[in-house]
Amino acid sequence: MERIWRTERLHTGAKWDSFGTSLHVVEMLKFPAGALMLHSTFRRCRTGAATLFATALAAAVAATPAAALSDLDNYIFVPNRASADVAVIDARTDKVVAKVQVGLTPHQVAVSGKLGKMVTSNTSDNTITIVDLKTLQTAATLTLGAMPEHIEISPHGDVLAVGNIDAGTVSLVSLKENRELRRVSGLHEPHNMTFSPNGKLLYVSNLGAEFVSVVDVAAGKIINEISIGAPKAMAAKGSQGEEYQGIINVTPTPDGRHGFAAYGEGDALAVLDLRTQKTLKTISVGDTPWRAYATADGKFMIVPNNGDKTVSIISTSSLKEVARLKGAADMTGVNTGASESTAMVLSRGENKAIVIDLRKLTVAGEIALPGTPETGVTTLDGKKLYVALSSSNQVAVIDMEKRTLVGAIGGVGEGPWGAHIAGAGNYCH
Amino acid sequence: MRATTVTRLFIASCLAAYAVTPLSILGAADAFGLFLNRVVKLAPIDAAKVSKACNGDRLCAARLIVETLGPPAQLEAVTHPDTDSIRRVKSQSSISDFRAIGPSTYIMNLDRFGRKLTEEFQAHFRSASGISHLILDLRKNQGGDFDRMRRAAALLTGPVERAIELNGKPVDIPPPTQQLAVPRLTVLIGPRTASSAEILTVLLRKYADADIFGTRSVGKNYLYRMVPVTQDWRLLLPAEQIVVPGETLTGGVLPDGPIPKTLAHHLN
Repeated sequence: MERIWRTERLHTGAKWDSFGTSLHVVEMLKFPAGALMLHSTFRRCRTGAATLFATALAAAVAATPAAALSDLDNYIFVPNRASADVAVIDARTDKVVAKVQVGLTPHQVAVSGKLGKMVTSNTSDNTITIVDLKTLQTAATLTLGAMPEHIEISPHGDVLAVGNIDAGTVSLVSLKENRELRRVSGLHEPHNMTFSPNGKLLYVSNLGAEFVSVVDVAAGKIINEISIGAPKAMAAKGSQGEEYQGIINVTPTPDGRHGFAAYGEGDALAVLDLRTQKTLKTISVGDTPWRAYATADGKFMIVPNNGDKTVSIISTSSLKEVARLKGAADMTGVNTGASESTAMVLSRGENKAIVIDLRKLTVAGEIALPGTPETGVTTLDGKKLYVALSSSNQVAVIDMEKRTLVGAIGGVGEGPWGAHIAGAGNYCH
Repeated sequence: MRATTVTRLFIASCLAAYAVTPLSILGAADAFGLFLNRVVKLAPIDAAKVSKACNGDRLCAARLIVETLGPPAQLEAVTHPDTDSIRRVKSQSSISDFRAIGPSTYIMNLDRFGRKLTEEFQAHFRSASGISHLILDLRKNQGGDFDRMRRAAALLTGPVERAIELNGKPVDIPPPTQQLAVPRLTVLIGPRTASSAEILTVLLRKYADADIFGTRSVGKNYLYRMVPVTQDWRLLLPAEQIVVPGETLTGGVLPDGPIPKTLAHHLN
């Protein structure tokens, strides 16, 4: 077998080595704290030399896992749907420092800092990939229900909920044991999920219904369905294959007491009392609201209304819409930062971010993006926003304080679909 | 006419049942009980009997409910759209054709009431250089989302208070995102034009002075409410009767005349 050896320096201490035709890549990363991490970009490592290399690095990693984990906050994980991998970006240098091969069409990434594991949901092969972040190697690949898309890690970091959207089920997975514990049926196109603060309950948003299902995690059963609005009205011979948009997400307040659930077909945002599992109030918003995004200080919920291209700002204290601002086409994400003075609303229809001044509750401008934005994540200090650009295979970097685009990171992979930082305000489409 | 009378009686019985049925009829908060509670808000069913017969099986219950209620209640397979279309990555068009057939005269084939209908409408108007006569072809439109239909109507009529009644309760045509100026409007209907498309037709006749040509439409004048049963099945329960005051939907919308020969040869 012909081998093509290539070495490139990516950044301080990092190497990227490949055996071209055999598609074996081994990568060594030296993290600033001194920990070594091994990255096997492709699934197997067959050559003797590479195996020895890997063994040596693995030993080094095993000696310093804590140092590696303490730096997790500095890394952005970007799932690439087309190239079936996850790019790891160092936020200090804005360089791609690793790529991890996962299953087909990775939709979302979640990271358990406690267990040092990263998970991807792979919608095309009905699996999740669990990656050990000490070695960046696959710890397990689990086959779940049809089209696992959205994933959520429990507050304790040990249970993963996976919505199998095409099967109408949710898988509950032990991240300690790398196995599926229970599979809950009776859901309707399960979309995003939210754990209660103690991890005992899971609120499942049904994209195909007008209610939120409440799952008892220990029992693996639905114990309630919280109605968000009236069943959809159709004047037709049948439903005509209409695109039905039920509930995308339940967005909790920081104290976990209330949840905000937008009902796309009802043009409304319901305020749920998560202790009593009842709808407290329904707030009229714009046409076809997407979902609520919370500011980190808990003051506002920001709701893009895609039907009329507006953005509703809801006060979480008065439970009223305090502003309705001009938006743009196909808004699929909102990120806040800069001491919660700024919100960026991502428009995949117009390739831009709309800048909202959260102190004045006005639109302060817009930032043109060099590709189609999918979702983004703000760094924990609120200073930088990273946005996956699916059409240009880049990740845009926005300075949240200056409200400007400061760069675009290339070479992340094909079809970047989101961005994720451990412990940050992560979300998915 | 007989069918319409039956439908009216059916809807009236639904409402009567709704008025007297306790919402927490089954008490127990299991998924099956929650499903039956949703149904009894919309239809006159004996929940205890259904519960006993089907023992927690929602699909069995749904079949029994449809069997008991009879048409027009129906059980429908859910055609799950590609979730990328929900995420607005993809979108199915509502307007299948838009073209000029003369100086500032355009034909628009509006076949469904999709989620991007308003945007499509506006985009086509922007692409045209002045429209003095719009011919809206609804002959293939079998209805759809009631709220999106109202928003489409708003583009051409502007806001109208109490334009429609649902079981006697007034419903407005909402303020449009942008009102489109059309000096002359013609609507084409046929034997496949149904439900939301029929309501749109009479709203445009009443509030936008549209001429209606073609043949009598289906005459479907009630709203279904969609009740999810399982991931793959849902109930369609007729819940509200639609009235446009001053217009007749019963038995189908009657056009002002047949499609003029001068127009017919331009049609697909």
